[in-house]
Amino acid sequence: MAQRILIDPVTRIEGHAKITIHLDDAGQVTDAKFHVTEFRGFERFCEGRPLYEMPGITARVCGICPVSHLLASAKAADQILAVSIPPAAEKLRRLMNLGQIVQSHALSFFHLSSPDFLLGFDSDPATRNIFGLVAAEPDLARSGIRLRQFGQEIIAHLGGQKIHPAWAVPGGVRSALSKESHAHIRSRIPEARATILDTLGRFKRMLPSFEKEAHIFGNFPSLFMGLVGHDGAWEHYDGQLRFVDSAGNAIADRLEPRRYHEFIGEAVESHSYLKSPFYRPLGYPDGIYRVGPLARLNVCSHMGTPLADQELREFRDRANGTVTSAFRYHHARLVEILAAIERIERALDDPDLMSERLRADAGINQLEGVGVSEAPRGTLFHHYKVDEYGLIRKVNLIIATGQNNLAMNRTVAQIARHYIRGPEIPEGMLNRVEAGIRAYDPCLSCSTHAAGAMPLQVRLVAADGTVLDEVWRS
Amino acid sequence: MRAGTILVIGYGNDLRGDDAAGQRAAAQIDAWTLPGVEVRALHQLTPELAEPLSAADRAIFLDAHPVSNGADVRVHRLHPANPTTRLAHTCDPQGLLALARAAFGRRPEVWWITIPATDFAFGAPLSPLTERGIADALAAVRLLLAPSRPAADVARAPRPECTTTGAAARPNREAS
Repeated sequence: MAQRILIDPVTRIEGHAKITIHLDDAGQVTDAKFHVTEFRGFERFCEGRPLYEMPGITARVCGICPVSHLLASAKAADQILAVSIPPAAEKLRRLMNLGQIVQSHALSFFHLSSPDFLLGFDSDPATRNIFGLVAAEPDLARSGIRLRQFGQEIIAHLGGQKIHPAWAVPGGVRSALSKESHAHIRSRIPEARATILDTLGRFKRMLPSFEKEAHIFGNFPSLFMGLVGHDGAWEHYDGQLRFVDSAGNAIADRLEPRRYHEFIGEAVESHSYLKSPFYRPLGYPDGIYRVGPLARLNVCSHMGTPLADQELREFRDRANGTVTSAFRYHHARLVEILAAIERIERALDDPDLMSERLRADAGINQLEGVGVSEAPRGTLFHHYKVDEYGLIRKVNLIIATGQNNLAMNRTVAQIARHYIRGPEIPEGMLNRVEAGIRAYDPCLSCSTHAAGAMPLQVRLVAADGTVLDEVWRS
Repeated sequence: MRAGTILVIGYGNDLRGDDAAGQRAAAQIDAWTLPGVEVRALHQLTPELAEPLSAADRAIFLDAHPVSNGADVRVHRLHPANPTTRLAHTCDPQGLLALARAAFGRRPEVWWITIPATDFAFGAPLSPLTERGIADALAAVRLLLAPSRPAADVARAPRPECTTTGAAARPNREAS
């Protein structure tokens, strides 16, 4: 008698989603699907808009990572203008992206996930939040808030505002970094570096306590994809794409991002508005791959900065190579924050950064462009086709959360398989499913991340429609 | 942010019609260039605002409030939310206030001014109701900022000075 568990809703506002867990006749979990039931339609309503509006429009895709869309969009437009942007413009865009990585990862770790680690996955959801963290670890909570503030300030100093800065434009950026902003950012680096080093130390000491979670939270073989530099270094803005398998073998390397359609396919399922990209040579769904912090640390040869390189070695040593557990996304985020802070400091030492030559002017010189960058959650593709007047004819966006869709399905199934033993929903499963999803930091909406408070409905349904068990958490 | 200052935060989506009310009001207050008053126009409230909020003596939030028909600007005295509140990528003023107190040990006196709003369509202009509401909200802010009129007086004031016709800003209740 086949059965089904329904978790609905997973989210409460922008990114409505639900989860179904399918059981076989013996009551064993066979599959899980993470459904996104909200349709936003950016790809369609951008059609007909002028190319020059695209960075500003697509930054509105998200209030959480607008910088990522802004940069990928500007890069796609650079290609359509067929320009090489001024060096200072690229360096400033990189600086903003590093600020975005710091602020996004800091919020994911300190505000949303650390209450699980420090207060316990099964602690009272009413206090398993930032306030509970403040009560238990006030210094850590305060420094986490200030670390995110540091990243947000970089974005605001460059773009004029933290959310939706209309600053990166086709051909470059609108404005330079002022001397005052430069000095302010530099003044905050020592505290930011001390915070992340302290946090990394704490997290590594806690890891042995979470062996079970690390074992069942999305711990399975898959491919990993991310940008790497020309020397294989960790990359966040440009470079080429690399796929590695779970043994660490590069199965495809030096892939030109603008030819992504040759190696990435996009499956569409009737149950979700979230597309499911896959590695085309292996087909769907065998071509499952993961993106984001864990993937970036698995695909790169080195981080390119001293402290982060040391942490990368330790990160890999703990897994004897490629890290396959989604639980370690949290660890990877901390390593990436450290790398970002080191790179920010290095960028500030570059005299080119203060150049006033920031924008290449050109008309429409190509009718197609693909902009790719690394968003905090993974590789982001913006693909535009325009007419000779620069009006958008077609848009394709491939977002990080979509690329992790197959992996999130499998993660939920793995967690459920561990906990479900019969026709009842066991205590503790909801918290683990919630935390398993949160490990990927999916950008469906804020509420997916609502620590300890994710509204969940789990329903166990038999093939004949009988509700065997049902649990609600509002 | 220096201690002893007043923090004014207007927030909302400036592309969605009346939702821009908070930001528009903040921009006008910023143009007053008042000493000791820091003004921020923001798309949304985020957790890291807790620190500057904790350093202020007084804070004023301005936001659009959806109404189905005509309504007044309302001025609420805020107290920190229950610490079980959800804080993620975005916050509400009470949650921020609670975070300021919990994490930084201090919270300012906070007022929340809501401006009536009806049209949240993309690219829509401000509705006449919200235009009037912004004017009323600015009058209420002037009262709250006036050094000779402490907050307690504002709470007792039946109507703000400088109010426009129509909806009037009047402090009306405390939200907790």
